[in-house]
Amino acid sequence: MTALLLRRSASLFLTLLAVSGLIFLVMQVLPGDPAAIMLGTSASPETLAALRHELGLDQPMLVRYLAWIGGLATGDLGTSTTYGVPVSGLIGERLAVTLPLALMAIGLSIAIALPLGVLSAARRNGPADYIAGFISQLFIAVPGFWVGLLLALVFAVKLGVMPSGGFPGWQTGFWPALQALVLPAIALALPQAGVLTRVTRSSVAEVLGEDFVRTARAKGLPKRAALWRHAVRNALVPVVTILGLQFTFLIAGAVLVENVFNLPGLGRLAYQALTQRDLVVMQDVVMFFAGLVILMNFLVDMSYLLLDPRLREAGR
Amino acid sequence: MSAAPLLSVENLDIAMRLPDGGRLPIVKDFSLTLQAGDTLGIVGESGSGKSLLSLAVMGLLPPAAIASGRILLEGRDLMALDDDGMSRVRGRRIGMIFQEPMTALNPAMTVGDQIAEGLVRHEKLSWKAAREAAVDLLDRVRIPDPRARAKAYPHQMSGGQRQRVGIAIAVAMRPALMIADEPTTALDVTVQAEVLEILDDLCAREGMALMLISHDLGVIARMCARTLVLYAGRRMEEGDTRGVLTEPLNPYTRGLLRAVPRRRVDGAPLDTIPGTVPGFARLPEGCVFSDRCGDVVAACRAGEPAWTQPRPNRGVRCIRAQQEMPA
Repeated sequence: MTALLLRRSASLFLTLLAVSGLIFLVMQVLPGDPAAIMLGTSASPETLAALRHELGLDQPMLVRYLAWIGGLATGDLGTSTTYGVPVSGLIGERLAVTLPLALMAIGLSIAIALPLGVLSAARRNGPADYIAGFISQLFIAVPGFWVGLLLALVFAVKLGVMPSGGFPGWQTGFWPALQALVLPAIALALPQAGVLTRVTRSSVAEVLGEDFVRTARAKGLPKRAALWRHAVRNALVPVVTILGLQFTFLIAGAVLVENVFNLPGLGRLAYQALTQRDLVVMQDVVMFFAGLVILMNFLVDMSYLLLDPRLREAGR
Repeated sequence: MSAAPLLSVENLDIAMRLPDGGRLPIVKDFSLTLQAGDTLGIVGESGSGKSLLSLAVMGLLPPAAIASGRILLEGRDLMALDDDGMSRVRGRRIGMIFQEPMTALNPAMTVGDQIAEGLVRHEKLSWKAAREAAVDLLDRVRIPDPRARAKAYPHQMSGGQRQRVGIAIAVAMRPALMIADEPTTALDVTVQAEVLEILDDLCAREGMALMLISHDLGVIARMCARTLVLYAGRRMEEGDTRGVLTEPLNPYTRGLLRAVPRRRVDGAPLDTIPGTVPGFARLPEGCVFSDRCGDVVAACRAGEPAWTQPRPNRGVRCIRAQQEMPA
């Protein structure tokens, strides 16, 4: 078990390193010289060269790469070319919006998908199953940002019970800030909940056919207890796998939804950095996203060990 | 009449609902009575409906199955109970052991907890007390070092040990009736004997009645005082095990007995019953065994023979048996 953890941690580290190399390379081939963009078209070649030297752009690629990941390791992410502030502070500030948003979306998605999927599986081919199937198909078919626009239209513009966008900041109080995140979180969660419901249904339905569920019933457990204690417990591995995969889409979705709702989150920061050719910020934010995804996959892998005792030995 | 028998199955019919809306009858006109402490073996080939019978008694028939008739346990009609009512009977009054020890246990739960679970539900024990009782039960099914093994997961045990855990789960609440559906079929021969001995011992000690379902006449001869022979969902013959095995009345039973492998001096090939068990959709007219029976006469195909009792405690479904026996 400890050996397994160590091995997985090592592979986590190597993956991060490989990803950082890839991101760095992609940034190199991206058109546009950051120094030229900062100075505008009228700058003289001398000032340009001076700035390039100051930014370290005249150094060989390997040196710049090592400087970058060296900075990552020590927490120095460089300075934004457009904002002129340290990128680490920028990411931290934006994370205070995106992290609660993502957690709310994941929580909401689970809260919808798990009961709906389990209900579907328990009442296979009954009316409840068909209704749940219809709802989940609807969630899957409708794009999240469009749901966001619709939600904003209904709850913010027509009913006026929710803010339509923007973020007051946590310093204005917990509730106003949280309220600003509710509609975006719903918009992010629904498509994910749709997929997760389908996966939960098929996984639970499969386990319900297993012999050990019948054993559980034979010892006198009512349907409900056999369902939750035995079937659902053993159906969670595929569900958690999809949850981990969905995290990637969640981040992609956050870029869109944060723009729709005008939230100062990481997704919006990435979008702005892209449009303004702020390569330092872009490189760091993309690396941060990649790191999150890799970390998430690591956690999913580790959760298998909790969910399925057979893997604790098999993974040795 | 004496007191109500422990289990009495009356005119049980089980049919499967077909996707096209039709019904395929599987078990027909099945009855049996079992007194407390009785041991009954039900023998039949694969596909004779024997597993459906045990699931019917447990109230765990698949949703596509439709059952009619009566199943009385201690005088109470189980088929009239709703699922909650039946959940109070399952495990507590009837225990069941399944065929496949590899898949019958929950892979994500320790075996101790799987045994304790029934005690927590039925006897309202705390988990602590129930886990203690589980250790005791593991000891009774002769698992060495039960305290440590209670914390093991099923995959950490051998097939024979898992089947003993299955027995421990089934006997935990000291049910009055134990149903064992091919309990040793999936096990090695040496392990089979051990598991049967444990089962035999526990039934005798707790005074549990045993309904043992098997295709193996040897297992039934060893474990059961009475034997019932099932073919294509019909009772073919029933009686005390010695009588059925030494003086079979039904040609099907005779065929089964001839097909038991034994050492032969003449070097002749093993006897078999010609043909295969017919699918339930293609049963022959009249007696269901008529197409494979060596003693068949024209009258056998005229109509399904009735269940008759040519002697006290002996029952048979065969017109030839009636002709041969003096009334």
